[in-house]
Parts: sequence; C-alpha cells; structure tokens
Amino acid sequence: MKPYLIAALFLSLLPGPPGHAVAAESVQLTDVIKSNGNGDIDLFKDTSATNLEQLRLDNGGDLVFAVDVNEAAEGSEKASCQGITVASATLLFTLDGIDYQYTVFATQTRTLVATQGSTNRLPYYTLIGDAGSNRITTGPTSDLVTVFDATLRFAVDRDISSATQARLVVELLDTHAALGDPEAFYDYSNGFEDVALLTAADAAYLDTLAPGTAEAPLLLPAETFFTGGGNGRAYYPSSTGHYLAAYEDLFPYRGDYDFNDLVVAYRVYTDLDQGGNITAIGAEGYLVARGSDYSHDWHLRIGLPAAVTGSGSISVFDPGNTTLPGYPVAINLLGDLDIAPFEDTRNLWSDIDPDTGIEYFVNTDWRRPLLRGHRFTLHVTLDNPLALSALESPPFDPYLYVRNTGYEIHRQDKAPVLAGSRNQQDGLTGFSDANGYPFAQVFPQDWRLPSEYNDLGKAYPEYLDFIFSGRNTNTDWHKRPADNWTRPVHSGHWKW
Amino acid sequence: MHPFNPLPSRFTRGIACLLLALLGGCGGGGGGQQSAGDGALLEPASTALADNSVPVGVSFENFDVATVPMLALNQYVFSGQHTYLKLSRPDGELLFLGEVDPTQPYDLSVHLAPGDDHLRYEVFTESPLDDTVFGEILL
Repeated sequence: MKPYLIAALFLSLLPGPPGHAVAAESVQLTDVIKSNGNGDIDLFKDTSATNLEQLRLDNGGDLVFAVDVNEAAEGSEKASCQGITVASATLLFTLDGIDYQYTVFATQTRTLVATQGSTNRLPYYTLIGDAGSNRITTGPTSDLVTVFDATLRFAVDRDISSATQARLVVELLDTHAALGDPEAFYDYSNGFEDVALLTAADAAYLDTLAPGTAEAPLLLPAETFFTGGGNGRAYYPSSTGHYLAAYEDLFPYRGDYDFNDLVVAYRVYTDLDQGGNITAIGAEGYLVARGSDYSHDWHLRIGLPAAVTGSGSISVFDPGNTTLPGYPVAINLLGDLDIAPFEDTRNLWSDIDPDTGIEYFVNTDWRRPLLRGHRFTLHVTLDNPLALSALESPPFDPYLYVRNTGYEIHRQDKAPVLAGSRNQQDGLTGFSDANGYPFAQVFPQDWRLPSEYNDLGKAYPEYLDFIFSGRNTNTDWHKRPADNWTRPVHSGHWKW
Repeated sequence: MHPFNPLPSRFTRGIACLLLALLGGCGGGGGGQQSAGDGALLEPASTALADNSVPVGVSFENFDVATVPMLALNQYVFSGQHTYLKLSRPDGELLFLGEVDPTQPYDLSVHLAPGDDHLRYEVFTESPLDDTVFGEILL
C-alpha cells in the first residue's frame, strides 16, 4: 500500500475534534425482512452507536427506518403500487448492561385487514411502495431514497451513543388474502424486504413522495384514522381490471376490422367522501399494441360539469419504468378532464429489428416478439366535492387523434371535441362506418387483439352473434377467440 | 409460416386503405351481407364484420352501467365508529372499497358485463368487536 493511502486510512479512523458534530448518514442494513415475513436486524453490522445517536438527534429523537417494499405483482399489487402490513416491530438496545425495548412505532399509512383465518378486520400500520422505479433526486438526500419506499419510525427517549446492542425485530402480518382486497394487497408474498436507517432529510423525502400510495386500497392515513375522513374508492371497471380501447384509424373510411391500429388498456377510479361525492379522480393505463403506420395521440376524456376545478398531475413511464422527460405534468382542471398521455404513438413506441433496421407494427405482427408498452398514471383532487351523478358514465371517452389525417376517433355515442380537427371542418359528427360499425370499441380485459389484418369477427366467431342478438346471447364471446387469428397479448404481458 | 397472415407489416397502410376502400365500394364481400336499415336483426351468414352490415342503433357496448340498490347499512349494529363497505363482482373483482356513512346511503354506479346480475358486499368496522358481515345484492 502506498504511503499516502496508509495516511488517509489512519486519518479516517481518528475521531473528530471534541464538540465537532459529524453529519449523520443514512445507511442500508445487511439484514433484511425475510420472505417468511420476519426480520431480526442487527444494526451494528452496518453502523455504530455513534451514528445511531446522530441519526436519532437528526430526526428529533426518532430512529427512522426505510423499507424497500418488494412484492409479487399479483392482483391489485403491481410495480407501481404494492403493500405489506406490519404486525409488530420492536427496537432493542443494550445500554450499560440493561436491555431496553421500544414497541411503539408508526408508519405513514394504516388500513383495516383480517389476519389469516379471520374475517374480523382490525387497524394495522402498513408499508406501501413501488418496485423498480428510477427516481431521480436532487438536493440533500442520499441515493437510498431512489430505491426505498416507506418509513417506520420509533420515538427513542434516551441517548444511545453507548449502546452495545441494537436490533430491529419486525414481523409482517399474514393477512387473509383469500378475502381479496384489502387483504390480498397488503399481504407479503415475494422475497425479502431491504431495510435502511435514514437521516431526517431522507425520511422527509420519502414521507412526502409516498410512492405507491395514490393507488393503494383502503388507505387510512395515520393522522386521520381516529378522526374519520377516510375515503371510499370506486373502480371502473374494477380494482384489477382494465378496459381495452381498440381502434380502426382510417376514419372516415372503413378499415380492415382488426381493431388493433391502437390498443390501450386503462382504468379509472373515483375517490368518494362518506356522502358519496367525488373528491378525486385517478386513472392509469398502458399501451398494448400499435398496428398502424399512422401516428396517434391517445386521449382519455372524462366529462365533468364546466364549473368543476381541481389540481393534480400526470406521469408517463417508458417500458423500463423511467419517467419520460417533462413528466410529471401538472393538471389544472376546469371542466372536462381531457389528457393525452400517449402522444405521437409511432415515435413514442416502435418495434425496430436491430439487425435489419426494419420497423414493424408493435405486438400485432405474428412474426415479432411481444413488447412491453408505456404506462401512465394520473390523480386529480377536486377543489369541491362533486355529486357522483355528475360524472360521465363509464367507460368515459377514450379517443384518438390521428396525426396523419387530422381526424379524431371516438366511440359511437360520442361527438368530436377538438376544435381544430378535420371532423369539425368536414362536418362529420358521427363515428359509424358505411356498414354501421364503430371505429372505436371498448372491450373487457381478457380480449386478445386480432393479429394484423384479421377481421374481429373471424378472430371471435361469436362476436356477431352477441351483437346481432342485442347483446343477449354469447355475452362472454371474448373468452373464446380463434387462436389462429389473434395475438397472445394478455394482461399478464402488458400490465406491469 | 403462419397460414393466415400473408401481408408483411411493411405493407403500407395507404395501399391497404385503397384495397379496403375498393372492397367496401364493391359491396363488401357479396352474398353474406345483411341488409341494413330495416331494424331487423338477422342471423349473420359469416362471422366476419366485413361480410355483414348492421342496422342503425345496434349497440356495441361490452359493459352496462348498473346502479347498486341502496344498502340499509343502519340495520347492522356495530361497536365501531366507522363503517366500511366493500363491493365486488362474483369473481372477486373489487368495485368499491371504503368508508361510508351508514345513515346516509347513496347510489353507487358500477360497470358490469352484460348478464351480470348480482354483486357481493362486505360491511365492517375498525372495532375488534365487529366481525365482517357478508352478503349479496341482486341487481
């Protein structure tokens, strides 16, 4: 070893001058909460009693842990939103030969769940987060906040700088997941959960960011739990289901009826107060397929009274779960909510063979592998509660603006809304083709899109029976596709 | 080789449009076509949309809005201070979850597949003395 390195090492081991406070540092811990839901975490594997005391002082007398929530993407749990329930957490110290235990803890969120085998739902603290996100941070935070999710906080009322033992013991709750949500969402189901100790700046960052909480079910913020005010949430079509909006984009000319020129999955939720009035609106969606040379802007419009105001934001993520440049974008609501999360779809999402440079349609061509699409999330809080009856009926108005033609394409019962579109210029107010078919349809989540150029009626032999019967027979026509005419693009592929 | 998809993806949309427009202009596939406009729903001769036109007013909706009948939540005597309602489809898909005022029931609309005629509900509180109440709603 070179002399200057030895000197540097020696200097680094020296204590600081008396009275000189060394800044506390966040630290990831070696021990984890194991896949069986238990964690016995020795803090001294990764930090010293001195740093623990500095972290305690930095956090105003609290020791704050962070947990990287790491759950399987099942049911309503997914990459952008997942949760676990804390059954108990204990912090143990040994000071001057005396053992001290702290069993009172808090997290930022609570819910009501039943334990395995029970139907009696009780309040528990929860930890909510996301997975695999690529957060970019600036300011006085450490890199740990880019991967950790939720905080777990203990009030520690004594100096722990002389501690000879420091352990965190955590037990996650085995929820009765067979009941569905909220138990299924707040169970633990995957591998281990990493744990870290945080500075005040890092803790404040995570508590403010609150990753994953916007979409979590039955979220009861700790500070409101005992005073009421908890919201209900209505889901369209359901908490884990999505609508599939599918388009023919040659409007006003008849297309080939494969309804795969653009396919987008989306769902909407409304937060309701105890009187049934809407307090917030949220949505999320995914690009599923793009079988067109045209490029589109995909809109989701939710009709609201003109006087409705509110604010929120929309985020769009690429298939690698990185936020697109410029997002999140603020939403200042006045009247209808009309957002275009997927703009210029051909440039946004393409399938180019790296060997030949040939561009293919995305997920509609039987010769090509399936690709994951972009995702969006939005949440808008209304300034004043709105009667649920004032909300446009689901599935709302998912529409397309075709950049190459200048036409907008809506479902049959809708009207054009874009002032500059060719529909307005040409006086085309309807959306039926010469044969009476729509250019836009909304299908159930289990619908698999026809492969390129294949007629929807060939891909689904019972579809016309369903339509011609006035929707009285073959109501589950979408469960029986002709495999040779459809692409195996199911929710397990596009939902992430 | 796939037997049903002879057209490469690079085949331009403009040419496809032209071909399809010509087909449409020639009567859209001949003998299997239904007569449109008389309001009668006939048995389709082919399963392809291109071979069948549909009368005006036919619905292509794959969901129906249903209003959930008001639940008389105040029939349940609970110890807890807060009442929570969970509504789900028979297949377990969650439609509503959250706190409600049991003294002021309100209409809740849900979006269901055609033919779905009942929902499941659960009512519970935060109290350890109150077990969850399970039931079904016929729409």
